[in-house]
Amino acid sequence: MNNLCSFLLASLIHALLFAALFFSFAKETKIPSVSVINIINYNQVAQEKKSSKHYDLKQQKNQKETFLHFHEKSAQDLHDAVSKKVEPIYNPLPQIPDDLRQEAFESSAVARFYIASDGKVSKVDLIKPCANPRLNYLLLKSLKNWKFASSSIDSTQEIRVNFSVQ
Amino acid sequence: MKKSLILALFFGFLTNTAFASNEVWNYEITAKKLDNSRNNLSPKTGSSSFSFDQKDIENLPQGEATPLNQLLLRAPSVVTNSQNQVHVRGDHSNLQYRINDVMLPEGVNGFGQSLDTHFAKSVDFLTGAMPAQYGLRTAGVVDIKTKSGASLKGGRSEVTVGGNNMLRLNQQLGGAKGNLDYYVNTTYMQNSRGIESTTAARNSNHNDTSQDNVFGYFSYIIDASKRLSFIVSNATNRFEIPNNPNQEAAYSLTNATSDSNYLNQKQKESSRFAVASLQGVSDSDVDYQISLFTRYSDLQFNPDHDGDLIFNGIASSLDRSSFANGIQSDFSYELNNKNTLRTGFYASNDEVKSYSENWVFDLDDAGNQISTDASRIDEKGIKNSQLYSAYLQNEWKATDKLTINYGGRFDMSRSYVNEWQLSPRFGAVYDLSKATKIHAGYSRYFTPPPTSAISETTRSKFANTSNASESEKNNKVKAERTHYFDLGISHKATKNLTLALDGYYKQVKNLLDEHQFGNSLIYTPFNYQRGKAYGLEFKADYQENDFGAYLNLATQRAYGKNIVSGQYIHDSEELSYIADNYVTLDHVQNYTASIGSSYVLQGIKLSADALFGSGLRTGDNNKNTMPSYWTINASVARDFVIPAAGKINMRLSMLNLLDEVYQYSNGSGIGISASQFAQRRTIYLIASKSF
Repeated sequence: MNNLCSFLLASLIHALLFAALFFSFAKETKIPSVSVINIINYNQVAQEKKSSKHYDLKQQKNQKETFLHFHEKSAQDLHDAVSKKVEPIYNPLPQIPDDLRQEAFESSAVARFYIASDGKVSKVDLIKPCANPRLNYLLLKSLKNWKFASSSIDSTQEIRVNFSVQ
Repeated sequence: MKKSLILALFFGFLTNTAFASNEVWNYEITAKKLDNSRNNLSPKTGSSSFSFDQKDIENLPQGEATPLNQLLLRAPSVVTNSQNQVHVRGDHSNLQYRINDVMLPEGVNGFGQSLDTHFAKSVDFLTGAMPAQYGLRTAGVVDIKTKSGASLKGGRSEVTVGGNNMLRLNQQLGGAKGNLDYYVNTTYMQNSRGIESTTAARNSNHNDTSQDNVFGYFSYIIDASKRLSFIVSNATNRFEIPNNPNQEAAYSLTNATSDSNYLNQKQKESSRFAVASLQGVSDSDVDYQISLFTRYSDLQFNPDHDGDLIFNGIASSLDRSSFANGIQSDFSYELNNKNTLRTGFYASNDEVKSYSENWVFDLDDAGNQISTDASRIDEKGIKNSQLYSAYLQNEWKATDKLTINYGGRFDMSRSYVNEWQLSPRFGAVYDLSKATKIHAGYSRYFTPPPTSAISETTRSKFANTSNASESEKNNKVKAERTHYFDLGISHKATKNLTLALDGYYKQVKNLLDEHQFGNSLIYTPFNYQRGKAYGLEFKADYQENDFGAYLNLATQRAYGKNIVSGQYIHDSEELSYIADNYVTLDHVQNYTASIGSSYVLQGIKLSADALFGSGLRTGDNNKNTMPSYWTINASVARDFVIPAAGKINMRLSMLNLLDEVYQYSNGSGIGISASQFAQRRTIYLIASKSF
C-alpha cells in the first residue's frame, strides 16, 4: 500500500513538474499586464435610457430637430467629458503590514473604479489582483473610500498600484 | 427615418453613458524594508528570530548552494554534529520545518538534506518561548518562504565543481502565466564525502554520495481574496558508509574473512511530500490558510554482510518507512486596533513500517562465540500514530510600547503511549525606547517522541547472541514536557548596528534524547526522567550598503538524569551512574560562535565567515570534551560577461580555509559509536547564470 501511495505521489510530482516545464518552454506571448477595457454595454445603456428626458421615443414630434439637437449636445458633452477628466480629491492607500512586506515586494494590482457623477465610488473591482489575498483585501478597503470631483457623467477609471519595498 | 433613429439612439447613448478613461493612473505604495537586522525580536511572536533574507544567503561563502544545516549554523546556539545533524539550545533534534507557514510532518531521519536552500527566498529561525501557534517541535522553527515565479522571473542555472569530486547542478525555473505562478528547483549532487570521515585523511574512504532534489511551487489566484497553492518535493539521497580502517576482527565467520578498509555498507534515503493550501481573506475579514499535506519517507540500510558480522557481530538490513498525512489550518482575525486573535488546528496520521533482517552469532553465557555460522533474526513492525493540536492566542497591543501575546494550546499524541497536554503561553515585548526592546516569555511545551525513529524490538530474541544488550529493559518512550523561560533585550546602537542579548532556562520532564544503537544508523529516542538546559546568546549585526557583518556568541548547558525508556541501548554502568547523577548531553557544546562579513568592492563580492565550537562531549558518561575548533570559510565572487553566454557569476568558495583537522567525536561517549572527522579544506568553483 505504501509503495502504491509512494508511486502515486511521485507520479503527481512528476506530472506537475512536466506541466511547469511545459509552461516555461511554451511560446511566450507577452500579454500586457494591464488591459484597459473600454467597452460600452449598449444593451444595458439602452435599458437605462428608455426613460431619458433627452430621448423619449414616445414624444417624437419633430424627429429631425430632435436628432440634430441630440447630435449637437452629444458631441458637446463628450468633448467636455474627455477634456475634463475625473480627478480624485481623496485617495487613501493602505500601509503594507510588517509581515507582508516580503510578499509585497515588486507586486502590483490593477483596480477599476466605477464613479458616479457626484464623485462617489459606486463600485471598485480588482481586475488584476496581486498574489496575496490580504494585500488585495487591504487595497480594496482603502480604494472604497476614494472620492472624486463631481462631473456631469458617470465614469470608470483604472489605476495600477505598485507595491514597492525598499 | 429609420436611419436617423439609429443615429439618434447612438448619440443619445453616448451623451449619457458612463465614460471610460483610456488612461491608467499609476500609484506606488512604498514601504521600508523591514528593519530586520538578522537578529530581532518579533512582536508578532514575542520570540527571538534570526533572519536570512536572499541577500544574507547570497553572502554566505557558498551562496545559495549552502546546505540548509550549514545555513542554520550561522544562527546562535546552533551546534553542528556528525551526519549533518544540528542541535538547538541543548535539544537533540526537536526542530520544526515550515514551508510557507505549513508545518512539514517528520520523516525518517537520515544523513541527507531533504530541503534545498536554493528554493528559499528567506529563512526565519525562531527560538525561545514561542506563542501558541507553534507546537510539537519547538527547539527551533525553521520558517522557509519559498521563491515564486514572480520573484525569479525566468531561470537560474548553477554548476559547482571542486574538491572531493564535487559536481552539483542546479536549475531553477519560474514565471507567471495569467493567474498561475510557478517555480521549480532541481538539484543533483555527487561527491566523495557524503558524511564525516572516520579518519583525518583528506580523502575519505568509501564515502561517495549522490543526491537529487526536486521542488516545485505552484500558486493560482482564484480571485482577489483566494489563492490556491501546491508544493511538491522529492529528495533521494544515497550514501556509502565510511570505513573504519585497521579494525581487529571480533568474531569468526565460516569461510569468510574481511578487511575493514573495504567494507561496503550503504544507505538510501527518500523523502517526498506534497502540500495543497488554500489561503484567503473571508468577507468577514478573517485570514485563513487551510492545508492538506502528505509525506512519504523511507530509509534503507544495506550492511556488508560478512564484514559487519566479523567486526561487529551483527549484520542488519534495515528498511523503515513513514507515511504521514494530515491537515493544518490557521485563522487570524483583527478584533480591533489592539487585538488580533489567532486560532488553528493540526491533525496527522503517521504510519511507520519497519523491517530488519539481522544476522548474529550465538554466544554462550560467558559471551564466547559458540558457532561460526550466523543465525538470522527478523523483526517487523507497523505502527499508526496520530497527533492532534489546537490553539488560541491573542496578540494584544496593550499600549503603544507594549505588545502581549498570550494563549493556550492543546496537543494530544496517540502512539506507543497516549498522552496530552494543555500548554499555556505568554510573551511580552516592550519598547524601552525607540532603539531598545525587551522581551520576556514563558511557554509550556509538549514534544512527542518521533514515532518514525522508535525501534520496535523484542530484546529477548537477541539473548545470548552477539547483538544482546546488557539490559533488556525497554520502557516506552514518552513525550517531553518542558517549562521554558526566555528573557532578552535588543538594542539598535546606531542606524546600522543592532545588538541583542538573550537568555533561556528550560526545566524538562522526560527529556528526549536520541542514541545510535549498535551498528544501526538510525537514531533511537529515549527519555531522561529529568532534564534542564540554560544558556545565554549575544548577537550583533551590522549592515551598511555594500558591507554587512554579524557576530553570534553563545554559551549553553544541558543535562539529563535517570534514563527511563529505551534502556537497552545503554550499558548497565551508564544506566546506574545516570540514575543518580546529571550528565551533560552528548550533543552540547559549551561555547559556540559564528562571525561573518561580506563586502562588495568594485563589483567583486568578498565573503568570509568563521565558526567556533568548544567541542562535543565524549568519554564515559560524557564527562570529557572533544578539542575545540575554528573553521574559516571564504569566497570571492564577481560577474563576468562572456560573449556567447552573457553575464555569468563566478564564485570561488573555500571551506575550512586553514585546513583545521578536528573531530566531532572520537568514538566514545553516550550514543556515539564511531570516530567522526570534519571536512578538510575544500575549494569549490560555483558558476551561475540568471536568464
